[in-house]
Amino acid sequence: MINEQSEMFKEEAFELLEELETSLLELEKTPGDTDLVRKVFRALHTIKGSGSMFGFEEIAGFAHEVENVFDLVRGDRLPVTKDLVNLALSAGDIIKRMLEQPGDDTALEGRRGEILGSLQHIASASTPAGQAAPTPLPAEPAPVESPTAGGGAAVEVTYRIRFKPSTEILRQGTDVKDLLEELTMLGTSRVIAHLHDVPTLEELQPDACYVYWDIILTTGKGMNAVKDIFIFVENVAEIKIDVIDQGPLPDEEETGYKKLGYILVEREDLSIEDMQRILRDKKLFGEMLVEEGLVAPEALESALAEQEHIREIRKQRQKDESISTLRVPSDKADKLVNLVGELVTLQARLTRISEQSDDPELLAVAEETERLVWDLRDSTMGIRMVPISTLFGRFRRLARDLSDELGREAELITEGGDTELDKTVIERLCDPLVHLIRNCIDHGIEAPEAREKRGKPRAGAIRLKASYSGANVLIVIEDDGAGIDPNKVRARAVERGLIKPDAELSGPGLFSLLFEPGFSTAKEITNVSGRGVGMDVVKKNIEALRGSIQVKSTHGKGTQVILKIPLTLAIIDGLLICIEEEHFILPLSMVEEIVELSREDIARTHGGDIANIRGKIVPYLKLRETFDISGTPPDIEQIVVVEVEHRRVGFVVDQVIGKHQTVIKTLGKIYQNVAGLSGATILGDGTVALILDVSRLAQDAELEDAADYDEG
Amino acid sequence: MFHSELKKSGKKGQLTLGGALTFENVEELKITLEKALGSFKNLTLCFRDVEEADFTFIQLLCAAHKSACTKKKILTREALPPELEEVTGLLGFTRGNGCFPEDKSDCLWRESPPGQ
Repeated sequence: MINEQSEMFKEEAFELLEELETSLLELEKTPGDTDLVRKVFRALHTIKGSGSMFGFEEIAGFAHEVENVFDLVRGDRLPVTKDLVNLALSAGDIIKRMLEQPGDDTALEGRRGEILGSLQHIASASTPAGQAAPTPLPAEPAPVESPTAGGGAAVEVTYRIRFKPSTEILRQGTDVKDLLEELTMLGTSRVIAHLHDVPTLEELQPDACYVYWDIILTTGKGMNAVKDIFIFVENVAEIKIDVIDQGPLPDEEETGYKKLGYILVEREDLSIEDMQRILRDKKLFGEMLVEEGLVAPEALESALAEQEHIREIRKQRQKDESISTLRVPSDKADKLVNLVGELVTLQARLTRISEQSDDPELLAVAEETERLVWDLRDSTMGIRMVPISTLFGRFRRLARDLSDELGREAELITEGGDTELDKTVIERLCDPLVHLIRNCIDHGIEAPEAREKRGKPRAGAIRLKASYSGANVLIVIEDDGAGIDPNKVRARAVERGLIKPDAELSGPGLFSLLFEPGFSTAKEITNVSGRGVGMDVVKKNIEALRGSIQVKSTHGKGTQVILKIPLTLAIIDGLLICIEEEHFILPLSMVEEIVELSREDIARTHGGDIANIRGKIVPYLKLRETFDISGTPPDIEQIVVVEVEHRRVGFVVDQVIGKHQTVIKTLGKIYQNVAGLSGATILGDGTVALILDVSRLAQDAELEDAADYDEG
Repeated sequence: MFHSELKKSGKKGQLTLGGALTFENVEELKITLEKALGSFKNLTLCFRDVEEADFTFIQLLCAAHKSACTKKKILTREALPPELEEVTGLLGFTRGNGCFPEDKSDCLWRESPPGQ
């Protein structure tokens, strides 16, 4: 259980660190934004509190020290500077490492000390002379609660908050409107201001606060989130937060709420004796209380608002109970996907058996099962889909740090962050994208002075865009930098013997040479890029995702790298084909058309392995030869035409069987490096079909074709 | 900056306020309101071209209303422009009942303002 809680803390802390980083990067751009200062402070405060509660004392202590410095910032005693942001970002990195690798780490401890020393230096230099450094906040852990109940669905809780500021609060720079707005943004709320202490105009000090508030708030964000709103006013306000409703209905029949009198008694706005006395009369209870002068009209209004709010929330909950959110560990989702994969395979077997039998009842059951399994497959795959913004967020820091390191000015602009991809795909996209963004900054974006000379803005723009394209997602990384010089690429390719000096290559075809191992046109090798190690790995990683990569560039204007990535990796729609007794799968999303190939067609091209399809020449690869399958091909073979990197390539097979729900199984270690294969699947009859690595095969076909062309 | 205009309309006065009705100007706004309330027994508040309003201004109007009530004067308001309506809603001033125990029907922020 403790371990489970520690994991929960870690998960929460990682999220908070991401939030911290994002806020710090924003704060660097808009140092006067007090909301961002609050967010930074809150993230550190929560890490401290939760860390302490779950026994991560070192993390709590460290976060506490950093938080103290931001306490000065929020008190306008310390300005937000680049140095401060740098140190806070580094502090976040250290907390992350402490979470990932708990235990003694001398180097980390040293770095921690350095950061704290620098932070203290900044803090002491900025505190006015003669003024003592602010007293550190009490080290007691902030109360922590899980946002979920028993690790399950997020629970909506209704809080009654009495926020009674001191008269001084406005003079300290607090804008109560902003505070209440932030609070109400957490969920559904009712805000009631108590105005009876407001004096007459003559007595009023206009910069003093005479009002206090009752807020009835229903939120699934947890008590910490509610308390965090008040972090900066804890010392100038009385804050009372009570849970007044949570979880499922106590009783299905009891969708109402407490009687008015009980609410007022609970709030200590009415004594129980007075309530009982008044109840003996027959008028409306609230009316009687006000008439008797026992309760102020607004106290009554506030209590009525609470009653009404809870009634509405409970009614709504009855409607919405099915739309709540679940937080499930990813390994459970993975297991579910695996099980669905097994079910899809089993269903294929059932379909096959039913088709072979003459039993209409069995056939009907099989068809119904097939429909349900497909629905289940789609729903399950949907669970694994994650917005790509979770990945994009990480690159802002990368772009910032690298620009600083290399003396560039570059802004990373992201678009289409809500585009969803399979969780595994997202994880495996991280490294290639890091490399491509590094390349943009190191080779693409020019130094600010050089950009100005070329009539460009000093700061370069790197755009990271994601969008759907059928069963794929397109990710485009583009910069407005120097672009790639095609002559240099050509010269380098000739020098390395990749092409002949007279080879006619241009555009994406020429730039595809950049993905050759060891290929680089950079004059200088930096620790960032230029060694020619990386782009080939990027391509390999993208192809391992069954994706493709393409480069477009205009010298002097910029470069665009386009990644085409399938939405999911676990189960795909495949096209089942066979050669003799061997079965293969091609990803259906890549298939454009299927045409017949007769012996006469072959004879007409004199064995040139090209087909004329509606006047266009399409090179093809005979898979029988590629995989060395013996036997005689049928008189009429089939060419499955696919599109790879904007080129059409054919694969010649004996027979096309049809569409197949393909549960992708990874190949064993021995077969993992076999060129042209990306996985395997189990067919309905229990036999194995190999999944073709279409991009790789097409590339091989192209090379053979180019070699023939050169020799000719 | 805020702007104000005090006009006489029959026996009634009409004070029009606009611009930045915020903390920075609240001292001056108080003086403006005191003068207007001192000049008329029956005063209506109007709002034109409100750029911004905050809590201090809303509280100030509450105080003005309380002054008017204690002096047996009448202070009403015209319908609120969206900028003010949003602020009063957010700050929880809008209500169904009055805010004074002495007169449960009277409050400047009642959803149907008195006098309308």
